[in-house]
Amino acid sequence: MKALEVDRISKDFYTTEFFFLGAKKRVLNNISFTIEKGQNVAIIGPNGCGKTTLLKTISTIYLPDEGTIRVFGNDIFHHPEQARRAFSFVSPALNFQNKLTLRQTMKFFGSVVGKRPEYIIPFLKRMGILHMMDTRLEGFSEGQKAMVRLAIGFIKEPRILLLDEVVANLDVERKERIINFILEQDELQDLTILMVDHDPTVVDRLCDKIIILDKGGVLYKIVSVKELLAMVPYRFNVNVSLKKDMSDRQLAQIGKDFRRYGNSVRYFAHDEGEVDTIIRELLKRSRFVLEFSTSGVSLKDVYFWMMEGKLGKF
Amino acid sequence: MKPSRYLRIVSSSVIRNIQIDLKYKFLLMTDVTWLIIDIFAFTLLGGMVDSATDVTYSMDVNVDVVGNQLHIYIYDVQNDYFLYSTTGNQTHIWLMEHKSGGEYGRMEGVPENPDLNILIDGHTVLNHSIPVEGAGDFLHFNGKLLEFDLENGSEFLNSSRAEHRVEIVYRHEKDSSNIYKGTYFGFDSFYYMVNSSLLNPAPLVLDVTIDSLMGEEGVVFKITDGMDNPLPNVTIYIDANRVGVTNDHGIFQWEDNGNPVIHFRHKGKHEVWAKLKMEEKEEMKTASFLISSPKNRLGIDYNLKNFLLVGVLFWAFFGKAYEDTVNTIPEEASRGTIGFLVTNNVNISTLLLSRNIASSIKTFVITMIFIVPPFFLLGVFAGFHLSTLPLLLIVFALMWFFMLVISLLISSLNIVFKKITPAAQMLLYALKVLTGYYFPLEALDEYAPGLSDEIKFIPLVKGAYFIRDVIIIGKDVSNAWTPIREMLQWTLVLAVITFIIYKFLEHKSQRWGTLEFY
Repeated sequence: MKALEVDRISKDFYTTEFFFLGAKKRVLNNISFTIEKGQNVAIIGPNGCGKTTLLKTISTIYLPDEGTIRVFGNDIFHHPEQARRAFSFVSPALNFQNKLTLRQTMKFFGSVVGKRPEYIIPFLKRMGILHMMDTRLEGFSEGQKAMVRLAIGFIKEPRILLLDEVVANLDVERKERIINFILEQDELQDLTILMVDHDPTVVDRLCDKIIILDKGGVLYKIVSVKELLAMVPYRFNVNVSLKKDMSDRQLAQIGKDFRRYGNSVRYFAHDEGEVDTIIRELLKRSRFVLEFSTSGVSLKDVYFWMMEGKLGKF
Repeated sequence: MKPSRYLRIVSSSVIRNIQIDLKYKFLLMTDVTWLIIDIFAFTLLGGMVDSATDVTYSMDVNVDVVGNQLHIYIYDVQNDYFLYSTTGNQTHIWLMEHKSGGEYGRMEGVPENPDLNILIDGHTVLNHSIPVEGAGDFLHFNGKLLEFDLENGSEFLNSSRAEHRVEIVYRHEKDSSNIYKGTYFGFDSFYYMVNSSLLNPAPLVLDVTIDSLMGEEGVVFKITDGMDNPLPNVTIYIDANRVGVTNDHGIFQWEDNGNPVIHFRHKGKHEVWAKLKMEEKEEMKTASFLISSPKNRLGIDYNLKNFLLVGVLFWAFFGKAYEDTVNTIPEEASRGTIGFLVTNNVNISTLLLSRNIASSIKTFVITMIFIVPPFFLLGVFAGFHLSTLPLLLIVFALMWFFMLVISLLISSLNIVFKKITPAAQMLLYALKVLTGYYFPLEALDEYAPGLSDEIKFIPLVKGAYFIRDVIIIGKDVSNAWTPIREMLQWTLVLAVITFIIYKFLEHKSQRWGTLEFY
């Protein structure tokens, strides 16, 4: 069953002060994809490629200039009310009236989505913020507010969860709790998730399919996580911390493909043999090396290449 | 959206807004302090102006035929009055002026009619049949007459503010039967010719009919024009004791019995526009009296202090609610609430309505606690009767509805055009001016004739003046449904326009991507 159908969506924004008179910039360009019910999909791409705009367009905050979007068969133009009932959009842009308590806040948002705030108690308990129900939100950390946002997203009991960097400000422990909770809910409710996140570990844990957007809002590719990882030109990383500075020439003697970030160096290896070679060379130069570790490629590497603007080189 | 869901969201949002308002205690205190300053300032300002212009006046002019004399009595003279007299083609003007505290007055343009005497409190002030030289003879008038100069046609007199009786005595024999009734006008009817610029800037001749009830003592008759519209602020009644023969159908043959007293009461606007016109049957000459108060440039029926304070009352209630409402979108958009609402099938207008209701509740409580009690003490509600409360509430509700629509209109612009607070403030300022928050618009009639009447089609202005009339001077509300209907009509027209603009801009904001950003 198709949960979400995006068909040739384009979106332009005016770029001048008098926007209705000025020039337009195309932010999304002829994007099409389909998400089946129960699928978890991440949208990734370099900054400014239109990831959040795509989410907002799907969630009807923006109207597309071209194309159609159907949510469980309901066109967002012709049947927006039915379409909106199916999803929850959790956005970091959602902020709160800091003078109100969590209970007062949940009561308001609960009334908007037509649910009693008590529904969300298990989630708040799991996240360890239930005891803060009568605390003003001004006393909440950014991470705790992020959990409140997610709680508001869940209170609606959506069939589709649209997540825009929901765990961006959370510590590792809370991030893990949230991911586990989403996975549980996903299993219980057969959720469909479409998310934007810059944290590859989150995407890795939650998603089985990736939509890659390129600059200019163009859809580059839709692939599974496995396919995406296979597209990374290296299989292994060796991350090195230096205790003494080394020249680029000295670093190149260890391994030919590397990136340097201050006192950290990252080597790329195509196979295990190449990893062995790099390690041996590092051991020879132990007076320069503080520590090193090896890892297989992950979505981190995908993000790494995207950050370098080399997405198209896959 | 189902009405039950809509109501649930609105009530929840109202509660949320009230909770927020209560959290900002300093802001609440500031609002209250501001109001108290307003009350203090307008009481002081209005009182000073009132003192200078002495706009509180009401007067009786009694016309009495005594033998072959027509006596005119003016009681409770507290202001400036022009007394016009027309005899044949010649117009003569008296001006008698009193100032509060100043205790002086003057008369000028004294008619040269040798058959006319003027008496004040029984003292002859002017009698052409008696030679008068300078002011000397009149210095003893009430003990305060300072000057009297007939040579240049004017006199200055200083009199106390006690009740005076001014008699203007014609020596001509008067047959005033045709003033009041006759076959010419119809049986059982009295007719006056009344000039009024309240209804028409040009002098308007009105037929005033006093029906069969007029024989009753103290009955106040309304003056209506030919279209049965009441002439504001003018009433006439007949002292029945002095009226001649009456029967069930009214008065007849009164002229044969003489001595009727016609009480001509007027609470004028900026001038008293009533003209009592009496025709002389035999000579077809006219003796008429136009009474006016030219120094009262404010043009309102009550003192300025009360006028302004009622403005404070309105805007204490409407102003803050309007400001809060037009600030809702910037506040909520910056919090991301707008996007959340849209994705949950909740219209932004729900948020605006809730904010307006919450603010109105807040301002209502503040008004009831901090404004109404002192206003009672200050005598602002002197004309208020409990029986008029339902009507007042209806008018107030319509004014609230109008302001809500205005708030929605401005807010709809806010969805697309950011930072419109200055424009919203400008509109608020304009509405305050139009409703007389700073000064009565009638004061501009001299420069823009008719403007003050023209703008009363605006429901808020109409409502403001209606409420002032009722609570300050206890104006008759029997014809209140006409203004109420007009207020409703214009508000609905504006509501339709607002709805169209709102929907258009909401759609555009989703297209242009301006909905969630601020």
